[in-house]
Amino acid sequence: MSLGRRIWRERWMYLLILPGFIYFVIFQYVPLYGNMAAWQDYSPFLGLDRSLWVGWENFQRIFVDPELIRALWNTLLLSALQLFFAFPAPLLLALVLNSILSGKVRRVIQAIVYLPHFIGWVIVVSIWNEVLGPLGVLNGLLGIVGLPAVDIIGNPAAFPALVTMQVIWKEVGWGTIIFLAALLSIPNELYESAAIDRAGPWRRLWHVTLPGMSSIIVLLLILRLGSVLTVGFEQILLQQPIYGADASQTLDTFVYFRGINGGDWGLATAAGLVKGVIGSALVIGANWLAKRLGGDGIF
Amino acid sequence: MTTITRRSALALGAGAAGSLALAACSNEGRGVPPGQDPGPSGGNGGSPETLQLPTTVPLPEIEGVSLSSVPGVPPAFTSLPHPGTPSVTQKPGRGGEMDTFTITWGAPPKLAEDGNKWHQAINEALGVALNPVIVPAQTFGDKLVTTIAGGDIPEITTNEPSYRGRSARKYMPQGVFHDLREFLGGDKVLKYPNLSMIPAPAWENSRIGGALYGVPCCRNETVGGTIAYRQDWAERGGFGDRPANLDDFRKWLKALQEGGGDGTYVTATLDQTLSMCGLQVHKVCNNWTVDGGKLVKDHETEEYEAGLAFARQMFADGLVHPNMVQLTPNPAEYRGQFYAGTVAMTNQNLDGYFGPNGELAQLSQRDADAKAEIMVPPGHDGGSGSVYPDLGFYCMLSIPSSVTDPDRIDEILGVINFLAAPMGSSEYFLVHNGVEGHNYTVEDGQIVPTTDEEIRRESFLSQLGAFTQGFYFAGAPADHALQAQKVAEEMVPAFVADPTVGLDSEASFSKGDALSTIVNDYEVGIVTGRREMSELEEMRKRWRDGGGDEMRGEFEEQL
Repeated sequence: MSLGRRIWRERWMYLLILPGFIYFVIFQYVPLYGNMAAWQDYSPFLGLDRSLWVGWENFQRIFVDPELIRALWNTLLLSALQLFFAFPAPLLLALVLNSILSGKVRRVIQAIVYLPHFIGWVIVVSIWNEVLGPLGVLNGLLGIVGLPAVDIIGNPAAFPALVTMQVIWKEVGWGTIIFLAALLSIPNELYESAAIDRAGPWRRLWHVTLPGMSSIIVLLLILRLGSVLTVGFEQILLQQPIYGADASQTLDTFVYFRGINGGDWGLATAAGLVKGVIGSALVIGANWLAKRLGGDGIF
Repeated sequence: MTTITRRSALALGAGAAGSLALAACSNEGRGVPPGQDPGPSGGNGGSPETLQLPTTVPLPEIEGVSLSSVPGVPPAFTSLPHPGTPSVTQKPGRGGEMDTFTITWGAPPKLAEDGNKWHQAINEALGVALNPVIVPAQTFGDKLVTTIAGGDIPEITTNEPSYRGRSARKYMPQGVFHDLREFLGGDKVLKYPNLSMIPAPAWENSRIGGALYGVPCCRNETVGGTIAYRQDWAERGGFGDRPANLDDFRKWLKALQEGGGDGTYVTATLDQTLSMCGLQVHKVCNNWTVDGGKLVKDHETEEYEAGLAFARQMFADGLVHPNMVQLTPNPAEYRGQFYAGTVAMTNQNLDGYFGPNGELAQLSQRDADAKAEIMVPPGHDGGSGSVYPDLGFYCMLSIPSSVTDPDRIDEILGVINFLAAPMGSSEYFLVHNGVEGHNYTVEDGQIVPTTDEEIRRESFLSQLGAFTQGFYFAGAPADHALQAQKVAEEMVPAFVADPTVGLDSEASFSKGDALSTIVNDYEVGIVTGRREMSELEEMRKRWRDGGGDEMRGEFEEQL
């Protein structure tokens, strides 16, 4: 069958693909052209066609700009914390929820843990500040029982842990949805067989549940690695005035402040480009590794 | 050379654009050569060297003005003669529409098409329909830059080159806006009489690289540097007199807290604690100081170190609100603490203390018995502490260089001339108060603004009509203007000039905000006790290495 006939046969599928395709072309591929600013002393007024070319200077500056190096370090630290704590948290919660026998209780808990996902970061940050602030609920309770106050809100040293906990609190419930779906896809016969073979709960978890979910875990992990240098813009930006840039400047906020606010678009674009290249390399590398280890990978 | 525009590139698609762009990767004919002034945009005459700043003529004398005996103190107007004298002889507009771009701190106003009578009256008086784009303050800087990048720049664009619109400052010498010296320089400004009354310091301080990229919306130089405090608390705490030196000041701060009672604090923010109680009292220089022909940054001085140590001690003594770091970036919250009687001090622009909605009125509404006063912090060795004068303008109104027709530029300048109507003129009332009988009434010769919230939303000009020439508070008791002037008489003699005003530094554009953030981080850390005083040296080094020395060098070349 000729290509034209095959396309015609699947014309409705292509039609369904079309809006998404147009979206990606207009909003994801055409703007790539703007990355030329990474090799320019870019001025929005002069535009890409009249701004001065500076060769690789912006990329060289990335590796000597102390602020950018600090932003990179902060990003990696926050990302590592999120990878080790925030990423597995929904999986653990999904396993716990799955073990609750009462459907009613499970639904109530699910509703409660989903709720923070729908709260905007402005509100989340305000709630945390009220609870953990110097005059907040926590320190009030500590004072009542005669314990010294804890210095959390506004303390740069507490920022990485705090941000990670906020992410977990806000997104852990939402993140369970995909894991719960994966759990439901594991055939009950496998559990029954394991139980007949006298496997206890831990053995069933280790030999049935986790292998059954491995493909989805690997898929999400690979996708997460692709955004390893993206650690949340709004959440960080909102709290930066309180914790200071030393603790809270990340690559995304750096690009915003130095690029748009500071007018150093060339350096900011170069930083964004490097970030994209690293993210792509990590996705490809992780996918390759997943396949080498016997998994499916994602492409 | 092949050139492509951003729009044509979008039309071509990424692949084709990429190949064309690569073909165009040379600097031939690009940008503005370093160090070279692009000259007056529009290309119609006058070399940058020969262009002058506009002449300034004195304000006309009007009834009800109170002139201070202290030189440099703005006049106070207990009332303004209503309906005033016309300052514009004919409508500046020639029909059609005129796009404008400005900033707002409040809710979005209603416009003419929504039945805004104020807007309709302004359009009628101007002879041209203003078509405003009004941007919230939080996003103003981003919106300004993206508007410049888009290329479709409104004909009257508000620029704030020293504040929220700093990011756009860098692009002005590239020719985004006209250098208005060409149209207003010397006596040319006399064609626009209201613009000719703009004080000389406002013109001088609004220069960027020597050029004038906008008409400065003049205001008093007495803006920041004062504190409002609870005098009743000070009296209850046993120190009712004004503190005269550092020893007094220490005792006075403690008296304020004692008078306030349990759970009260003296200051709420880093600015109040460090800048006002620490740095101003220790007479720290204004941003930079010149020592033997070399620039020294404020935080490199001994006075700064002493001021920082003082603020740190205040925090350790429990005089500062424990939520200082959260309160500092939130004016509504820290002012709320003052109104609620939790904190003894607040700070505002001098004009912001007075008027029907000023700080003092807000406090009285919450607590009728509260007694607050305003003062300049004392100097550690007697007299007044340092006060840093304002630039004499907040924003400026710019005309994009895309407007090339001289008649249209004349029309735009005529509109700005109308908006700059001085106190005492009939146009002033329309620009600042609206339509009589609708937005305000006149009772016993005093302007009384409407209290109807829906009608108040008609105030739409914002910074387009922000020209002021003294103290006048419509709707407030007449003595408010005199009280403000009295405080200004304390401020002006304590002014300390910034030697870098009017100078430009590339490093300050691109790195200034980041360096300020580093300094702010250390200041917060040291004041709250999370960092040691000894870390001040580390802060200075990071600032120098991170671009501070570069900035210093660029400024020194222009001294």
